[in-house]
This record gives sequence, structure tokens and C-alpha cells, in this order.
Amino acid sequence: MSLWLGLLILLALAALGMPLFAVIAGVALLGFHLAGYDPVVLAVELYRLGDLPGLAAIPLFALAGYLLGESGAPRRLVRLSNALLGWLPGGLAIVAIVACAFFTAFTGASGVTIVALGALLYPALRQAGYSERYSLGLVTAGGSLGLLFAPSLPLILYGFVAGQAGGGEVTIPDLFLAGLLPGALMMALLSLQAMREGWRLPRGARFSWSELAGALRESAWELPLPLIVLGGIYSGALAASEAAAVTALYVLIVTVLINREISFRELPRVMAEAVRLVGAVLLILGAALALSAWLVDQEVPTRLFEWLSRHVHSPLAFLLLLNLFLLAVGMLLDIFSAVVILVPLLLPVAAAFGIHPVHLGIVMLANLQLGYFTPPVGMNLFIAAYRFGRPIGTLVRACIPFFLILAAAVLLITWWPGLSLALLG
Amino acid sequence: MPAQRTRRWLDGLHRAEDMLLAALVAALLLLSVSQIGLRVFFDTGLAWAEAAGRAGVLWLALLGALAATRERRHIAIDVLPRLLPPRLRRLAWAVAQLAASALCGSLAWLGWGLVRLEREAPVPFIEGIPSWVPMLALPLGFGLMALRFLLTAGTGPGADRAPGAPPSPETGEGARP
Amino acid sequence: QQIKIATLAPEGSAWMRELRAAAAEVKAGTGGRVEVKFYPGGVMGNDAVVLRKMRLGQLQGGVFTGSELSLVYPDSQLYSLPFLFRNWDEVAAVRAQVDPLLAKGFEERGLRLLGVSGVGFAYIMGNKPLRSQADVAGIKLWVPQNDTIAIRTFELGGVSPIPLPIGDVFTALQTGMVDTVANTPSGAIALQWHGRLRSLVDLPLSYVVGFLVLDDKAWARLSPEDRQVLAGAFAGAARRMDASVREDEDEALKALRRQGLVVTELAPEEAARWRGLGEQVMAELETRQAISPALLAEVRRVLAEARAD
Ligand code: NA
Ligand code: NA
Repeated sequence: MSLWLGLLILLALAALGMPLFAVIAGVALLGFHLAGYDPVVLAVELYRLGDLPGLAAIPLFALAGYLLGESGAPRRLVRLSNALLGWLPGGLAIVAIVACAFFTAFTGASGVTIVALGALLYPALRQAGYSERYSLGLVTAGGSLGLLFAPSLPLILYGFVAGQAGGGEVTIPDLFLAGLLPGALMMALLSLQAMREGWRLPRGARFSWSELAGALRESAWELPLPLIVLGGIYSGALAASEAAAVTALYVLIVTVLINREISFRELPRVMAEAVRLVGAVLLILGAALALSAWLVDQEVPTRLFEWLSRHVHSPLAFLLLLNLFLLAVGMLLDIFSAVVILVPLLLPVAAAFGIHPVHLGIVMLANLQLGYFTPPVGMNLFIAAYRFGRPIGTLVRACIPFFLILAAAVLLITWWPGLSLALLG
Repeated sequence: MPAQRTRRWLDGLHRAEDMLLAALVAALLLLSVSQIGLRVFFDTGLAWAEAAGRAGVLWLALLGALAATRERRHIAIDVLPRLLPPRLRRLAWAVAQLAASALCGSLAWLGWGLVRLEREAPVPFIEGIPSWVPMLALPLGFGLMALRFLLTAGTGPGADRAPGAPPSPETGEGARP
Repeated sequence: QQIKIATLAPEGSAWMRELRAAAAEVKAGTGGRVEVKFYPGGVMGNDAVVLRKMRLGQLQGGVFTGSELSLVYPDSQLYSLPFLFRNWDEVAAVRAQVDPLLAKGFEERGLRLLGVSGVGFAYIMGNKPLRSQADVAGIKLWVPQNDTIAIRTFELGGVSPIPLPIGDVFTALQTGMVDTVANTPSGAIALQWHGRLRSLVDLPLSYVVGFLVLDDKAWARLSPEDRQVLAGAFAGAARRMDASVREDEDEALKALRRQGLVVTELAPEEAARWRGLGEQVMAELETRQAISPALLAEVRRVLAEARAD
């Protein structure tokens, strides 16, 4: 069977509604078959799901997310943010943006931001009156926000790979500094959009100390959670990868034992629901990793890049094509393979065009961040589709404004090196 | 009535399945938390915890996906089927589910191939358990999934719920029957 | 014919430079009949995955450290046993005798050993000088998650090591969750851990070594002439690596010192205690038959000779 005939059949099946994991696994199977390998290679690749960094965090954060989402926490969050930021249009949405960025920086930008934090934020945004479309778009696009902030793992990986591949002046602390302004730019643009969105909502009541005190008292059990986790990590008591277990345990105790918003009878159902989410999402992720492995084996990214670099003669054209290239790669390849394979290819070409390796790193990660929710195959779209029970088409439509805003930010980051390099001194 | 008895039997099976999933994720939480506790308070840890946790998540994922198949909650692109008249929609559903069943069947077969490959040169997974044991998740999980896709192919896409149950706007959670 | 080789070594490292040179040599020497391709940076997966792919024929070879290969061939971790070697001369003396024995062991397991090369000595590096047992008892030491031998050694010595995924180590050093690591000087620089490392204990913890192995099925498909070209090219690459590794590690250590790292010695009785623990761990492995007693005896014999000189 030829590649095109096989792809055509699989696409037709996808259009008829075959589950996505099966479609992607089918494409990978076809690829390995045409490459002449023993198809058991596909099982080897699927089993690599178990080697994923931070794997155990996914079900634990999913559990915490379901517990929070079904408890009264979203309502309390709305009350607290109204009491504190009621005067600010889009206040709650801005809180959500900041929270997503923080969370992703620590957990390393997989879908866990959506399943853990989005689960809390989406119902809160809806209860505060934000439209379904805006709320869905925000939690989906927010799922990869914060990739540019320390201590994000992809940033550390870039520093390591670039340092080896000849970008001698790339240090991880420099990358941490360089990511600050571009990351802040993305958050600022999304916050402006949030304020515009917030104008349309009914104004919150005037600020009142008693309301604030009441809201604080009501959330007294949830508020310490971020402090415990962040404090634990910064004080060196916890590794970043251990945050999930602490969070899940804390949330379980608060929702079931202290606030008693989820009964022991309901608990198994909520837990099973979290596992179903993990299953549906990890199966797609595993299939995507297998497809990614086939592309790596066939050296597709390398060949594509070599073709590209032959047709580029100016720094500006290089950067523009780089944006498109990385966007495509960000959708198809997992972020770790993308960094490890592409950085050694990109560095020398970028150097020839006079692009600073630290700037290149920020551009690259900003682009890959966009790839997480780029239609049609960004992973975050699937995760949000499952978590919030909405068709993919709805998610894609909801994400378009966010995509355009963040794409504009990426272009700005790309063509304005000063933004990345200003803090380096 | 036999149909009713089958229904009851199935409900019991599904409840048991959910309990198993809940127990698995509870075990994973317990393992992760005790590992942290042992390290912070007793300066020690379980040597097998890391490997067991990873294998546990893999089993969790496959069993979870199996349960997601039961609830028809796998993510799919359903733009076209939504536009079709009910009859054709049922047909599209059946074709897609049968194809998924066939693919899961082959994945189960390949997973079994992986187990056999590993048995030729087994290494210890954790003390006393060879590395092919956790791999059984693939043939088992995908095999059962193939079976379940076959069953759902016959019963149609159900009411207007795809992919996943319509959530209630208050909580964003899928409504439960 | 294509030979696809996976390695954890990142693009741009000395390993990759020499391997690519060898590949060019093979291409020229076989008149283009054999093409060697590399997949660096761990993109093909970890050691277990690469070995599976070799058995399935997707890959033909891989570069592994001794401890990675220990899953298939336990004796491959022989050189990396704790506190086995004291200096480079001892390494050279032992390897001259034992490399061929290891090659035979690999062959019995369906692997053709094409090259062996040192990566360097791993040292204990931390945020404060270590001299006495009391100093050592207080460290928060990182070890790789699956390094059972290191974990056993340090636990015997009264240190509870903290196993973490390698991606967590940079952040853990920043937050103080760990304050001490064991790695080669060049490895610490490459991973950019050196910002938090102030002192190095001048007692080689273990000799890290890389093995380039090829699957026997791929080897069998090559013509005798091509095999010779391949073997010659990769043995040459390994020799060049071996010749430069000592200098490279010295350079790396100098670079660390320029950044303020101090090299300290353990008190003699503390050094002797750790060497004794190394012996104890080796003896345990020997009695469990986890490592071949005959090979270990040979290593001990050569070492005794070298130390007598
Ligand atoms: Na991706
Ligand atoms: Na190293």
C-alpha cells in the first residue's frame, strides 16, 4: 500500500469519526510499515510513554483538577477575585492568565495546566459571566503560557543542547532572564484582551473590606495551596516534579474531609473520571510520540530544514520561515525531540545571519508554545476538548483569537531581539 | 427478563471497573506521597517506587482509555457526522468504530509482539518481576478496547453526545446519567 | 547498506565529532557501500528502548555507558565500580587486559563491540569542602534514579542519596534540594550545574566509560572487507577519544577552578573508609554473581601489579 492511499483511507476514517488516537497510530503504523521495519517498533514507541518526564504528575494533577472543579472552589475563586479585583475589568481572566503562566513554568507545559488549573478556572470564568468561547480559548491557550519562565524544563533543555552544539555563550540563567520580557509581553497582550472582554460584563460591586474578609475566610483552605507548593519548591523541600502529589493530597483532604463538598460515595466516580481523562489523553499523546519517532527516524525535520535553508538569503526571510517551520514542527513533534534535533541545525544558520543564540532560543520556545494549540493537531486542543466535553471544532474556533494575539507576540519577539536580550546586560 | 439481567450485570461490571480505576489512582497517590514523606522525614525511599509509578501510569492510561471507550468519550473529529442524516450517521459511526476496533486489535497484537521480544532478553523490572510483565498492559488494554469498539459499533452513536457528554455550564463537568 | 546508531551524546560533543569522522572514513573505505547514520541527543529513546530497536532491526547500533548496558551484560559496569581506579594509569593498565575479555562477553550476547572509550572520572562535587565523615554525613547528594550501585554505596557510607530525574537536577541545585552531585567535570559544565558547585573531592568515584556496540545481525550482513573498514574506523575513533579525554577532563577541571571551584582532599581515614565501602559493594556484587568473579579477579590482579610498581 502506498503512503498516499493509506493516508487517504485514514483521513476518510478520521472524517467519519474514528477516534484520533487510532488515526494517529494508524499513520505511524503505515509509516513504519513503509520504512520496512518490524511493526512491533510501534509497540516499542507506544511503551515509551512510560519514559515521559513527569509522567506520574499527569494523573495526580488530573485528579486534583476534577476534585477542585466539582467542589465549590470555582465559586469561591470568583467571589475572592470580585472582592479583590472587582474594579478591574477582566480581573478574573487576568488572574487566570497569571496563574496559568506560573503553573506551566513549574510543570513544564504539557497538558497538565489544562487538566489541573483549567478545570478550576473554566467553571469560575463561566460563573463570572465570561462567554463560553472566551473561557474555552483562554484555558486552552493558557495551557502552554509560561514556557518562557524559569524553571521551565524546555528552557533548561535548550540551554544544555545549545551549549553543546556550539552556542557557547548560552547559559541557563541568561535564558531565564531573556524569557522574562517576551513572556511578560504575551501575558500583557492577553490581559488587554481580557480587559476588553471584561468591559462587557456587569461591573462588580464597590470594593469593601468586609466582603474581602468574607471571601478570604471562605477560601481559607484553598489559599495556602499555592504557597505550600511554591514554598516547598523554593525552600528546597520538594522537587518540582513532586508538586503534583502534594497538590492532589491537599486537595483531596480539603474537598473530602474538611469542606466535605465531595462525599465518599461520589469520590470513586470522580477519581474514575480523572483516570478516563488520563487514558484518552495519554493514548493520543502516545500515538503522537510514535508518529514523532517515525518523523525523527526518517529525518524529516532535518531534510525539511535543509531544504528551507537553501532557499533563504536574508535574516528577515530566515526568521519568517523559521516561524512557520517551527509552528509546523511544534504541532507534529514533541517539544523535547524538537529541541534536541533542531537546535544543532538552527544554531549555525542563525549565527551566519547574526542572530544571538539566546534570542534564537526564546524565538524557538515561543513558537513551540504556539504549536501546542495550533489547529488542527495541537495537543492542548484535544486535552481541552475532552476535559470540557466540547467538540474539537468548537475548541478550534475558540482558540483563533488567542492564536492571532500570541502569533503577533511571537512575531514581535522574533523581530525585536532587544526584547529578549535587554536584561542580559 | 434476560435483557434486564444483562443490563444489571453490565452495570455491576461498570461499577467494578470504576472502582478499579479509583483504586489505581489512589494507589499511585499513596505511593508518590509516601515517597516524599519517606525522603523528607526519614531520609530514605523505596527503590522500586519510581519504576512502579511509571508502569502504574501506563496501566492507568490503558484501563482509563478502555473506560473512555465505554463512555464513548474518545476524542474524534465529528464535524462531518454531525451534518449527516441519522441513518448515514449511524453508518459512519459503525464504520469508524469497526476501523478503530481493527486498529486496536493490531495494536494488541503488536503489544504481544513486544512482550515476546522482551521475554527473549528479560531484564528485571523491579526486584523479582521481569520487565515484560508491565508490558502486558498493551496487549490486554488494546485487546479489550478492540472488543469494546466492536460492541459500540453495533449500538450507534447514541443521543447527540459526541465527543463526550454535554457538560453543564455551571461546572463544566460532563453530565452523568 | 545503512548502519543506524543511536547515542545519548549530544550533537557537538567530542563523541559526535569523532563518530562522524569515523562514518566518513567508513563511507570512503567501502566505496559508499556502507553508510553510517547517527541519532544523537537521546532522540531514539533511553538505553532499554535503543536495545529493543536494535533487536527489531530499526537500529543497528548504539553508544552506551557501562551502567546502561549492564541490563544486557552485567559485566559492562565493571569499570564503573565505585572507587575502583585511583588514576588514569591504572585505567590504562586494566583496559589493555580486560577490554578484549569484555568484547568476548558482548559477543556471547549478540553484540559486536566496535569501540571503548573513557568519558572521564566522576567526582563528588558540592557547595562546601568535604573532609571528615561528619562533613560527608550532612550532604544532600543527587544520584541518577536507576543507579543502584551508587545508591547502595552511599547508603552504606551513611549518606541517603536523593534520586531525581536528571532534568530536575538543575532546579534542585538552585533551590538547595540537593547540594552535591557526582559527575565528570565536563558533564557538570555541559549540564550547567557548575554555577552551584564550589568544591570537588579529589577522589575518583567512578570511571565512566562508553561502549559502541553493533547488533550481530547487522554485522553478519556486512562483507568481510566492509567489516574490517568499519572495525578499523570506529576503533580509531575510540582511540582518539581515549587519547584526548584525559586532557579534555583536565581542561574542564581548570575551567571549573577558574570559576572558583576548589579541589579538596578527604581526610586519609575518610578516604580509606570510602575505598573500603567500594570494596564491600564489589564483594556483594561478586557473591550475588551480579558481576563475573573471573573478570573481577583479573581486574584486581592487574591493579595489584600496577600498584606494586
Ligand atoms: Na507538540
Ligand atoms: Na556525563
